[in-house]
Amino acid sequence: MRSTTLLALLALVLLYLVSGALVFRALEQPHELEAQRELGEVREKFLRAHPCVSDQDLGLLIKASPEPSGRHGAAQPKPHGDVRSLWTTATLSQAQLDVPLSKDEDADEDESDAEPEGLEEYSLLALETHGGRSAEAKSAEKGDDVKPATEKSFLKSSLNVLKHTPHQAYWEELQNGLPLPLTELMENEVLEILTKALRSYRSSIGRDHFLTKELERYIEGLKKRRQQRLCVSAS
Amino acid sequence: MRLQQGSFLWYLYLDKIYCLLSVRNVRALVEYFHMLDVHRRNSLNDVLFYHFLHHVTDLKKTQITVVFDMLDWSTLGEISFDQFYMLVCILLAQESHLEEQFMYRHSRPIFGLFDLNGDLKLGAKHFHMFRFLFNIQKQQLRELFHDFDISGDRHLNYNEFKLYTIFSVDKAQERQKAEKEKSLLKKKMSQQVDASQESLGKNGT
Repeated sequence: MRSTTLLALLALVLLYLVSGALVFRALEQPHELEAQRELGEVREKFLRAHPCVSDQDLGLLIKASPEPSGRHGAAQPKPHGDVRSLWTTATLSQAQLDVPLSKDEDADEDESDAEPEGLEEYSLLALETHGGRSAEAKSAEKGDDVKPATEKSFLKSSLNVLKHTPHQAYWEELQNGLPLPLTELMENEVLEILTKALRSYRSSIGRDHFLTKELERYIEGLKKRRQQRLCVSAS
Repeated sequence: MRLQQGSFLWYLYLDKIYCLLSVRNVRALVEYFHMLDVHRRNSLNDVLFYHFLHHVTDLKKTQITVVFDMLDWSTLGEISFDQFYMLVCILLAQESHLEEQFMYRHSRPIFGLFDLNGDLKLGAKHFHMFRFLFNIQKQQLRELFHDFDISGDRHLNYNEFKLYTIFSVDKAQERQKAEKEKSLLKKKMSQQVDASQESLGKNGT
């Protein structure tokens, strides 16, 4: 064979490879960007809902936890030839999740049926959990006991928590629609007013009157609630 | 009368034009009312009401009793949220010096509040009882009955009362304008004095 033909063939193969890479990039890049954005959003939501966890700490936790999807194919009995099939697996594996789900689960599933975006978000989470499980399986195969099981379960539960149940105080604030400092101010003021009222009740209608007892119980309840809130904000 | 600084009501904002609270503020107020409503009757009895008003304002006991009797128009011995909301708006209007504007905007309900007998007439005695709520001076009250008692029965009917509110709003606006002009004039004068001093300084050097 002549050297020019060889060179031409080589150039053709190179061109074929480059064009293939370009096509692959064009097909996959939007999905990848979308996935990255969603992951960033979830992380940001988690950080906002848990003000006590710093960005660096979360980064350390993620680094310490098993790789989510890097060695996914290797751990499976039937390795997936195409990256895209991971998404399908993730979507299909929804029903097989063995992680205990919160009470909002049903509502979320309904939403995911209605909105394709919700489904994507869900599948992303499922992918993460699935990937975590496959890595776990791999380490078990190798007899690697270095990673404690609690750490993995914590990762799972934290992912689950971040998706389904935000921080309690944050959730209460969302439901209430009132800023927490304002609620605290209101509670403190009401407590002061009611304590004075209780004194008046006791002196005018007596300690054993049912209205006095009702007021006493109410004040106790209010104090307890305030204490709980203080505990939540402290932790 | 002053609101206690830093109390919950102190953080509410009364719209300057319509003299109403925003929906968000009303929601917070509803929450506050429910917290005060110990017996879950959607109302406050006189003891709770007294302690609430005593805590957030510097009103005296007799004044609080007068306010309670005024608001308890159905004589149930309890104050529901409607009346509570009205009271809070009156307190906030006074705190933001919007008494005239408030009386003008809500003349009908205020007339209803002041009209304790329900004969659609306001006597000087009743007006005198409630004047602390709107910062009306004794002299002003005398002038009011002198100028606006058109029918001459020593009582104000609703139309006469409405006229008074329009007149007082105009007067308040004029007063504000005069104050503004005065402050502007003062500013200009001080600027002129500064400029002349500077020019004198330059001439001297």
